[in-house]
Amino acid sequence: MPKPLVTGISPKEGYPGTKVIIRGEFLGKDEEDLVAVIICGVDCTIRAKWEKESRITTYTGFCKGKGDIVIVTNSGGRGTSSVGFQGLVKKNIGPYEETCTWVDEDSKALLTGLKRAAVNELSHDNPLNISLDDSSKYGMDFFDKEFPNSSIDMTQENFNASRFLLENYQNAKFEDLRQGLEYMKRNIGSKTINSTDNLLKNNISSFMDAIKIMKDIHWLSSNDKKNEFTRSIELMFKDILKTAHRIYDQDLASKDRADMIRNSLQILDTYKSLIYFPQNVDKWLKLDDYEQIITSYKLAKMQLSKAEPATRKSTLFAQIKKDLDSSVLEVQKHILKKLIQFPSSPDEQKFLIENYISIENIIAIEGNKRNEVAFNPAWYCLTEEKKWFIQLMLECRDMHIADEKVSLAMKQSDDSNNNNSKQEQKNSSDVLKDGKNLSNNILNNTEASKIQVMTQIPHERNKFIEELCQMFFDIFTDYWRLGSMYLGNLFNNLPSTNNDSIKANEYHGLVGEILETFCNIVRAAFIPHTFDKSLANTNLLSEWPIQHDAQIISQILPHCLKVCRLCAQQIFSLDIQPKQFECVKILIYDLRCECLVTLLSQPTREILATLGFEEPDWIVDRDVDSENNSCLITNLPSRFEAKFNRALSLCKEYVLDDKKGEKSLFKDPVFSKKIAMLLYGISHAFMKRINRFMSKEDSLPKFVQMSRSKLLLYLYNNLTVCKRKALPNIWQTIANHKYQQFDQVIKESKKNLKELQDMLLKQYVSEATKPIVDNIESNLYAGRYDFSECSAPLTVRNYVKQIIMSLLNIHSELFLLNKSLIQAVLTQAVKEIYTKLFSLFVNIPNFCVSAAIQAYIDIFCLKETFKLYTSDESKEILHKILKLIPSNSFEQNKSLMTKLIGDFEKGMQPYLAVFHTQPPTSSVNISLQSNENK
Amino acid sequence: MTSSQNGKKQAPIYKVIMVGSGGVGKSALTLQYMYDEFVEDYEPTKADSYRKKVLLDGEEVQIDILDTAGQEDYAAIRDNYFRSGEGFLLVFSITEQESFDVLDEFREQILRVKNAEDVPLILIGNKSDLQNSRQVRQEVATDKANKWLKPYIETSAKTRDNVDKAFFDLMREIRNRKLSENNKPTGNRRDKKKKKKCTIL
Ligand SMILES: Nc1nc2c(ncn2[C@@H]2O[C@H](COP(=O)(O)OP(=O)(O)OP(=O)(O)O)[C@@H](O)[C@H]2O)c(=O)[nH]1
Ligand SMILES: [Mg+2]
Repeated sequence: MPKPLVTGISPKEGYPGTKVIIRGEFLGKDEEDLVAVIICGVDCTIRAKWEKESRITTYTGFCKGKGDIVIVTNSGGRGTSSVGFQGLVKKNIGPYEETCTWVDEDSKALLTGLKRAAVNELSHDNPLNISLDDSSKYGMDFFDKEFPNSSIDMTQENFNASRFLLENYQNAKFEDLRQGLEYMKRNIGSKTINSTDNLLKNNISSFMDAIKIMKDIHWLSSNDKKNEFTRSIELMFKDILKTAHRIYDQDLASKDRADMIRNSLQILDTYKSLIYFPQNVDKWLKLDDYEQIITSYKLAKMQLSKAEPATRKSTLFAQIKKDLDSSVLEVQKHILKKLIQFPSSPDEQKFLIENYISIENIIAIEGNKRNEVAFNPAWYCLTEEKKWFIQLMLECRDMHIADEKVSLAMKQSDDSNNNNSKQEQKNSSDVLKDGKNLSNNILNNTEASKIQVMTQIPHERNKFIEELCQMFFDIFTDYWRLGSMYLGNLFNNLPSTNNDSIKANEYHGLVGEILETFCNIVRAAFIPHTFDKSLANTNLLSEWPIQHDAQIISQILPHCLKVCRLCAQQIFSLDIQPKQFECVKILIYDLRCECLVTLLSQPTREILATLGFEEPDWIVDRDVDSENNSCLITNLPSRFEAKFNRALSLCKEYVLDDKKGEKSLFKDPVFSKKIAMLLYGISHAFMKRINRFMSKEDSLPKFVQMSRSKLLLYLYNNLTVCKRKALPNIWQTIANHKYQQFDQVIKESKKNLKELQDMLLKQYVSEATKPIVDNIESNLYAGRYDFSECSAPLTVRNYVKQIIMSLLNIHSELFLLNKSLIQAVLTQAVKEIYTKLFSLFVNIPNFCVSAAIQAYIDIFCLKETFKLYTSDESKEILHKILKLIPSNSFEQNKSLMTKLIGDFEKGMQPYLAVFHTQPPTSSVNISLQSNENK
Repeated sequence: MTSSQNGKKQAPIYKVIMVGSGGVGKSALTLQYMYDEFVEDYEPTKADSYRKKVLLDGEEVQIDILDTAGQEDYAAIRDNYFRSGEGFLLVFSITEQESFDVLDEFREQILRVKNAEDVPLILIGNKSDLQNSRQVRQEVATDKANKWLKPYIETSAKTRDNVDKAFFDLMREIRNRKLSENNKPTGNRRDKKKKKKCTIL
């Protein structure tokens, strides 16, 4: 084998005791082939480990300056090196220096030990203790040539002092050399004290061999039964053995200690970066630099895992490891703490979770196996966020409950002040008959009342629902995103588990709980009666101060519904599972139903409470129908229609249309029926209102000044218009809005209206004709008129004129308000007048001639005047009346009678013309009789 | 030391220095090149020295490799090492973005220590066998190399891919530099000195 050649050294410099890797070629065939390793002239063979032909490791000895690395093998001899080692020295000798040499006890080592046993203190690399020369003027070649077969090793026989001095102390002054010699002498002197020990120590393996040989000799000689022969030698060696053991034990102890210390120091040195790890972690934590922590930790772990078994055993190593692990656990704790600081964005959460998992993964590398039911930070975050979320919603609610209480208290104290001003307002708005002025004033007034209503609206609840929904949506979206990441295993580094369905179920449980809480809070706030308190959590039970005020509820509910629906739509678009969404769906449905009911109850209440009591209701208008019949009406029907329509359009706007994913409203026939009843209720309320004015149950507000009969006519007209316009319009709207089961409502309403109109007309007729009829008797006997004895007639009597004038009044009233009623009403009136006359005439016992003539022309004139309003029935009565009057003297007085009738017609001409103008034909007839019969 | 044994004709020495962050594979490249072996374990280097004879384009030369420490702990002693270098293999790992990002700093340190505007240098992207965990795209590295007007080579200390090429290319760069310095720049240097003297006068 060729000469060894060293071509690599790692590291290339170091303090004594540095572990070095020597690489090169032909560094020995095997362990035994390796004879010596010399680094910078220091023999490092003892701790050398032959690994392969190209690689040897050893520890450097005490050397200073740069030097060769020389390998000696049996097969190749003394080698060379192309790289060198630089020995570094610290002033105070460091802990890395070997304190003793350890000899392997197996026989092989002992043998090699024997070979090397010659080393003694003289081989000290600087025996003169004067500075060694780093730079030699002469190369090795020079010495080999000049001093062939010589050595600078003092222990060798061929030691050449000249060469030794030249090689080592070339530049030393003579004085220095002399001092060196002194030093050497001194040194040897001091060393002799312990020289036996040292000799033993340094040559221990030789002595061990010797003992073994002696033992053999002893055994041989004992066989020869010549024990005495070796006795004294044996005793001596026993002594030596004892001493050797003592030294051995001593060395063993100090070696252990030294090893331990060295080991610890080496560990400290190797892992010094790890010692600062906890502090650095604190620093990085403050900067949220988890990546830094993780890489450092990973590196540290890797470094630790490379540790040699000997190192692992040391307590220091364990301590470092423990500190490392515990500070990493702190980091994890810190991450978890941050993780449950809400609100936070899903990205942030993802970031933290992934970092947590990364750390967990590094920890797990060592533990080898990961716990299947391991702690999952994402799940932890989800559960914690759920708790926080629910708490937040409850807090939001509580805050607004408190606010509402305060504003309620403030409103109540305001109300007492407000009442006074209201009173003043009413007083100031004096009744004005002039239509224009009236309407102007009314405008101002409504403006004022509107403002008043506005201030009464409980903004608090609206604010609450807006805030709640906004918050809910924001957080829930984020929550959902985190949840999706959790379900989809979208976190880096997280080993996927196969119990995905369980995970999904658990997660949907959380989502369900959140949605449930949300629904319950909304329910308790807006539709408390649908909220089953016995089922719910106790913390859902706080009550809102305003609960049963229908007026207020109707103002807040639509808004609540709108906001909630918007929110639900947004949640729905998150692709949420139908099962979890069900409770929201039901909530929305309930809210819609409730809202519809509230909105449709509102006009009924309003109509009953206020319609007809506000001035705009009584603004007079003219209505013309398709046949050009016109009549006078007030604003009542249009105001009714407006209220009805407003409710319907609110319903339409807020409730009616089904949005995506919502339960259809009118699927439930019971509910549809209920709504139909409410619709009926509204029109019914209107009729009821009219009825109450008619029946005098409610008296007219002071600002309305109209005669009773006019009122009745106005009401009648209003109903007509209502029947013709308002109701059909409304029904059209209702049909357009797809309400169900309202045919019956229409039918009923129509019937009611018809009945009410009949009643009104009847009332009107009876109230208009009653005073006339009642007056006939007294007028007939006015001036103590005596039918049995009276003077000749001069003109038609006054009672006839009275009747005519009275009917003329009715006529003119009807002509103004509703011409189409003239025929029916007058016909009826006339009939009642005739009936009365007949009853009076029947009771007249006897007519004198003048009275007969008088009575005849009176009745004749009436008949002539009202001929257009005489029904068959009336004709019959007339006939009967005329029969009661004795007609035997009429022939003689014909001329007088004709004259008197002519006079009457002439005198009454303008009035008669009124009655003789054909009234507008109309279908109106008064079914008094038939009604009464019923 | 070596010189004393090879008295006849000294083979020229090319001093190569391995530079780069910890763990990028400087030692791995060196050992692969020197001894055809790949070391799986990661043991941070302090400063290792290698030297062997090789044939460079038919000429016998010696390559002297100084494998330096990437770990920041040893950053302070780098200056000294860089000074003795004639050519540099600036190594990063294609699987670690950060090792690429700090290259500029290394280069600046080299130029500062060498007090030169340009030194023989090759940008090495190591661990090319780990394509799957690549973080530094080839174009990005080439861009940087182009900016510096230096070659870029992707190597794998594990598969020995391009390892020889990296070292030989660098030696050629050093050789070219030496040649040009021996010819023209000597004059240049003198010029400079003269100029300086002039200014002093
Ligand atoms: N797969 C693969 N691994 C490599 C490659 N090069 C180096 N490694 C590995 O990367 C790790 C670090 O390599 P080293 O060569 O010790 O790194 P270094 O650059 O010398 O690091 P310092 O000495 O601290 O500066 C070792 O575990 C090597 O096995 C390569 O090309 N491919
Ligand atoms: Mg290294």
